Amino acid sequence: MELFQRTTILSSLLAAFPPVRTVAVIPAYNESSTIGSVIDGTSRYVDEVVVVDDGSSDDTAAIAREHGAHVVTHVFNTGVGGAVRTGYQYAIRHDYDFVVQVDADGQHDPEKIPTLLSHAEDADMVIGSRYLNESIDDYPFIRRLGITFFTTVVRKLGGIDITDVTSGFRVYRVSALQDILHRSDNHWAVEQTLDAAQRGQRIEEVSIEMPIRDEGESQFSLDTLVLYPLRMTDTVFRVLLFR
Amino acid sequence: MVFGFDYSLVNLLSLVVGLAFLANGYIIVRSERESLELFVMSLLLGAGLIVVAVVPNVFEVVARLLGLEWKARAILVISNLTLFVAVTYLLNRIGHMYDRLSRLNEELSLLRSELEEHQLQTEDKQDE
Repeated sequence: MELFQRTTILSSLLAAFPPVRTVAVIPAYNESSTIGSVIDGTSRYVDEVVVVDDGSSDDTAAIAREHGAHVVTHVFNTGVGGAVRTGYQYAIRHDYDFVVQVDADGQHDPEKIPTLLSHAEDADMVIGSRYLNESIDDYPFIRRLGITFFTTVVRKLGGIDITDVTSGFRVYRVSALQDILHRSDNHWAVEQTLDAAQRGQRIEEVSIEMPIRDEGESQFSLDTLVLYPLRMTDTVFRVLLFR
Repeated sequence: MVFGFDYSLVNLLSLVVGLAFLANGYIIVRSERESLELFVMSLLLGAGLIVVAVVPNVFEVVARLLGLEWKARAILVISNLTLFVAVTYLLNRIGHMYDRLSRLNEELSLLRSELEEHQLQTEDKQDE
C-alpha cells in the first residue's frame, strides 16, 4: 500500500513537473567533413539532434544519419535562415521545451551547450557572444564592421543590450520561439532578435569563444557581401513597419 | 470656389482614390504581408493624389516642372511611371512566390521526415 502511494505521488510530481526536453538544430550545407564530430559532441547534452540538410550535394545527410541524428532534408537550398526555421518547426511540432542552435562547421564548441542552457532557465533567448571575449579579434575587419553595425542598429531600435546579433550559437525557449518565426531566409538573426526585443522577450548573452571557420563552404560569397547591406536594411524596415 | 481654389468632381475622385491607396497601405500593414515596396508605393501615390486633390494648382506646377505640357514628353513620363509601377509589382510578386516556395520546401521536408520515421517504425514492428 505504501509503495502504491509513493508511486502515485511520483506520477503526480512527474505530471506536474515534466522533464525539460531539449533538441539541437544543426543547419548544414555541404558540411560532410565536420558534421559527424559536431553531432557526436552535441548529442551528449540534448535529447535529440536534428540536422536540417539544406540541399547539400555531398554526403552530409548520410553522415548525419550514421552519427544518429534525425535528418530533415530540404528539396532545394534556401539559405541558413530557411534551414533553421525548418528546425524550429520540428521543435514546435514535437513539443520540445528548448532549442539549441549549433553551426555544422565546428565553429561552435558543443561543450558550451550546458552554459547556454543554464542561462535559458530565466530567458527566452540566449546568444553566445564572440564580443565578450577575444575570439572576435581573429575575424576579418569587414565582417567585424558588419556585425558591429547591425548589432548597434538592433540595440538602438530594440532597446536591448547585446553585443553579437549575428551569432548563430543560441538557445531558444520554444514557447517564445513560436512568436518570432522569421521570414527572411538570409538574415534571420537580425530579424528574429529585433522582433524578440520589440515583443519584450528576455534576451541574454553569454561569452562563448568561436574560432573562425577553416573547413567547409563559407556562407559569405561575393553575392552575400554585395547584397548584405540592402537585405539587412530591408529586414530592419520590415520588422519596424509590420511587426 | 473654396480657399481660392476651384474644385470639381475630378478633385473629389482624386481624393477618394488617394484615400484608397492609403487604406491599401494600411491593410498591407495589418495583414502582415510585409511587402515594403507596395507599402511605400501606396503611401507615395496616395499622399500625392490627396495633395493634388486638395491643392489643384500643385498639379499645374508639377506638370510645368516635368514639361508635361508637351504631349510627347507627357507620354514618355507616363510610360516610364507605368513601367516603374509594373516592375515594382512584378518584383513584389517574385518575392511573394519565393516566400511561398520556401514555405513549401520547409513543409515538404518536414512531411518527408515524418514519413521516413513512420516507415522505419513500421519496418521495426514487422521485424518483431
